[in-house]
Amino acid sequence: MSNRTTAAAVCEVRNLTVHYDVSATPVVAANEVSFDVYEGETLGLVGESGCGKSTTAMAMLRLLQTPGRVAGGSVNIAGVDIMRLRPAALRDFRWRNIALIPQGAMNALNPVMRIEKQLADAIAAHADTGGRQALRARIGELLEMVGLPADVRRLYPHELSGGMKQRVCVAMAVALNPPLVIADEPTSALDVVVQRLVAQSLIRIKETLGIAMVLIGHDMGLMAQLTDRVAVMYAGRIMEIAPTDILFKAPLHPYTQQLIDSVPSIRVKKPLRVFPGGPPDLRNLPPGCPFEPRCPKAITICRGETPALKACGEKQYAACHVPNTNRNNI
Amino acid sequence: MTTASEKTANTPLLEVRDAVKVYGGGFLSGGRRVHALREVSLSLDATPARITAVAGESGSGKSTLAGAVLGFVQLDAGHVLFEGQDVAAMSRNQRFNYRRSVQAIFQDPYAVFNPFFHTDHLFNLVMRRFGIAKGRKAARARIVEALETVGLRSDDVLGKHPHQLSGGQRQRIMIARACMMAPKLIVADEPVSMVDASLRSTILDIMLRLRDDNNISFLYITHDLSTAYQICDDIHIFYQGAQVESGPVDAVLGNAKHPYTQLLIASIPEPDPTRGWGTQLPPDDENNDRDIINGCPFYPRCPKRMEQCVAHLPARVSLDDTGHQVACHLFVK
Amino acid sequence: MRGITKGYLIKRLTMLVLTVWLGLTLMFIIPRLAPGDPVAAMVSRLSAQAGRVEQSEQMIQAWQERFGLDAPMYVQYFRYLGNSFRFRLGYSMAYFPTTVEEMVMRAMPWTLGLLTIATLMSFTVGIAIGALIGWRPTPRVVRTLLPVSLCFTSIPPFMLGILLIYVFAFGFRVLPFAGAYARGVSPAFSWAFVSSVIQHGTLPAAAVVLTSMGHWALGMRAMMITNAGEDYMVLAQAKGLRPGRVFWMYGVRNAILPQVTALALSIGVIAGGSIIVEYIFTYPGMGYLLYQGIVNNDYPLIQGVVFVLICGVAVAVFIIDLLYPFIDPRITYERG
Repeated sequence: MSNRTTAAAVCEVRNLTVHYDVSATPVVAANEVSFDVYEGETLGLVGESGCGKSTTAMAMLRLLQTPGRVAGGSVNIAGVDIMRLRPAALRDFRWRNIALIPQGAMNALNPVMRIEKQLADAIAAHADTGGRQALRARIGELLEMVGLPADVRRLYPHELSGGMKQRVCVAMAVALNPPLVIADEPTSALDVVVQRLVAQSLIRIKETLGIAMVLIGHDMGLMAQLTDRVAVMYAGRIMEIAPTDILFKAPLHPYTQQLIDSVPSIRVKKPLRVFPGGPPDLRNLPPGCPFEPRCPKAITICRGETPALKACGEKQYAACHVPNTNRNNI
Repeated sequence: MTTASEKTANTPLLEVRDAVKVYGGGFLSGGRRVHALREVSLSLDATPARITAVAGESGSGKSTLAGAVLGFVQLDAGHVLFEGQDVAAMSRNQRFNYRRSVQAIFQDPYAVFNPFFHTDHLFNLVMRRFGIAKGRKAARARIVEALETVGLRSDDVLGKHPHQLSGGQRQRIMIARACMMAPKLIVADEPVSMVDASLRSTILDIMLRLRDDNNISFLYITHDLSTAYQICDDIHIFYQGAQVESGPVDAVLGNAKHPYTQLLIASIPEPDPTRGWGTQLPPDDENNDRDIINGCPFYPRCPKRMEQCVAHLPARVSLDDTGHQVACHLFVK
Repeated sequence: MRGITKGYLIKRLTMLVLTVWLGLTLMFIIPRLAPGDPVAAMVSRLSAQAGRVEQSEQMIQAWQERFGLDAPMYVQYFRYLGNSFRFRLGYSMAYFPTTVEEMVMRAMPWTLGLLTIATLMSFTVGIAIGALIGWRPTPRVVRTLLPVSLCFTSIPPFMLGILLIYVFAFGFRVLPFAGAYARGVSPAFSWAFVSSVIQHGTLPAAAVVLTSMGHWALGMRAMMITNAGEDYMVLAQAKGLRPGRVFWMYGVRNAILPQVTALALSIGVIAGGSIIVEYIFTYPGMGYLLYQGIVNNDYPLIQGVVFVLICGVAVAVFIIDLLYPFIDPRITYERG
């Protein structure tokens, strides 16, 4: 984790903006989102529902469903801007360079196809499979890698448990050894024990293969356990981005602080902290900082001027007029 | 009158005795029998009001237990007693009283709303059904009061359709509706598992206030041990229908004895990168889970399993006089 | 493990027999609840033709004996069941010496051919149209033009039949308007006969197909749209599969499942609806036969035709039920 600064970026997201055309004025679900994903790292993208984390992920894959559309910005992977690819080239580019572990594990696999066929689909669409024998061997290898017995390949999705299905999705995502995998809440539907098993095997596999990952989630606990860096999103904007250990030890943005504080602990009983206000209404955002109405530290300027994401330390960036200053570690 | 006073002194508010529920295995449905409840017993004292958690993963039987308490699920054996009265053998009057005294809130409040009606409809319905307030004015005052208890302003939510409200508002409306009946017990089935972090503490806080200010007890059904630890007084850990560990929440979660409780606690991701999960993985037997009919259901995944665990389900053993009980052969003397 | 087990097969076959038995029993009871005596009616019909029938009383009695109507009810019932299961359906009243089974056997191939082909065509064409309309990447031109083909959906089939006869048989004189094959051709496996059959079947089939395929198309379109939001569809696109494969293996393959269920449920309706179409085109099938039976008060004929229709529908549903686990692996007949 220490040499991240020297690592090359496998993916550069620049000013990615997503509009939902649901009314005369589009709803801005992702607003000028920019970040890099470095080789082999796990970048967490965290926030509450409606913060734009899944929208950003889907936009990176160019898989937004209408009425959503990318209104601007670029996503460069391996020197190619995925936003500029024509359909045939995009098809070829996908999975080979950017794969997806989808959110709804329960429904991510085609119910009428055997597991092996769904894995073979992904491989055969992009690479020479080297014949039936080689393909079968490869599928066996992939299933073994995620800790599933080989006979799973003959089964249909409904014959697998939630955890097993999610493992199949992991196997599918790494089948072509892409430089980047996007995992959209990969374990949110699983029980806590299975979640730990699947999450840890996911991390182990991506580290073995040297794959970089963007991990979408809402659980700060999972972020602390699984990521190298975390980007916190709110109302379609990145509020703070920093290496995981720094972010949890000394968050700069009041919102990050609030997210961390709202996770109930199993070790220490603390009085419940009730935070005022609800999630932001994207159709009706306040001028200035979108978090201002809920922010305990808001000052006059927050109401008028939207803060830009700026460096506040070597690897830490925050979009806040009044970032935390009582940092005891740096 | 003496019977009534005796009741409050000794009788628990809610008691579940040796509840058994088995799904499937019938002639028509055939196939696998699922043991949703294996001789489950628990009791909730009437005063002071307490929050009792029933915690477990999916398939643990916790929702079946909630259903049995609410009368949605017929038990195959055992009893549910409310204020000493068997729910299955209640007279019409007693049942009406029971329906009023025991309220429920659910995971997905959206499913409870009729999308065609204003939110007022929901309140008016229970007003009429249970004759809570006389006259339009008194009724309105009662609704406003109930909404205030859950931190909602009546102007914000009344006269609106359910889709115009946020998830947190809908969930709080359901709690307000439950409160309006001045219940003695609220069965809360995963009330915070679908709301965002910031709303979660709001709803948990409401539960605490209702316990302390309104003397309402809660049966809190959850998969999340952390929230249970923060707000509950007692906890029962369930695994595949078996009650593996119970007792005061500090004892059970602070000093967990059952290997399953320990595994659950160790699997919780903590928001602290320095407190890692560690590299030691729990035994990964998800693929060959098998049905244990008589023995301990946790046997296939237990790191400390022994021979006698397959043979029969261990009885609950009291560890001390606080009520901390565990059902594990490791503690059978 | 998957597929059909012996136990399921036996259970399903029992259901099939029960369905047919119930139909037979109803057909036995209903005419006996109606007032009037069929033999007396028949004799009076004869007397109307001949002007006068000698010794009609004796004749009625003799015929009642002959038809077994003097036996106790339960004997009649079991005799009737036994005869039905041996496919002995009795004599037609209107065409007396001819047996009903002879008439049914002559009519059945025509209906079976016309209905099977028309239903399958309507189903496949409707499904194809619906799938294309409900598929986002379909070119806009196609998506705009295809719904035009569904404009006959709200017209009843017999109305369209009349329209088709008017336009193609009387207007353009390109297709025949009646019968199953031309007069001069004799039934044989020859080109002349086959082409004549196709020519004669085109209009009735078109009347059925054009009016019914819209229902399949609309149902399929809705399922395709619902299906497009499923996670596996998003994942299929993310995998970079060719659009054809996503459309077929991920889209259509899943969206079609409820349609097959609907097909099994509507076979009875389809069979019933064909009666009027056959009548309009004087197509010598079961529908036309049933019409003749009704017009002539020919009870044995009506019973025979209805019996065969019940059997046909029951068997068709049975076949679809057996095929279902092969198209939807989630349905297994392992137990139950």
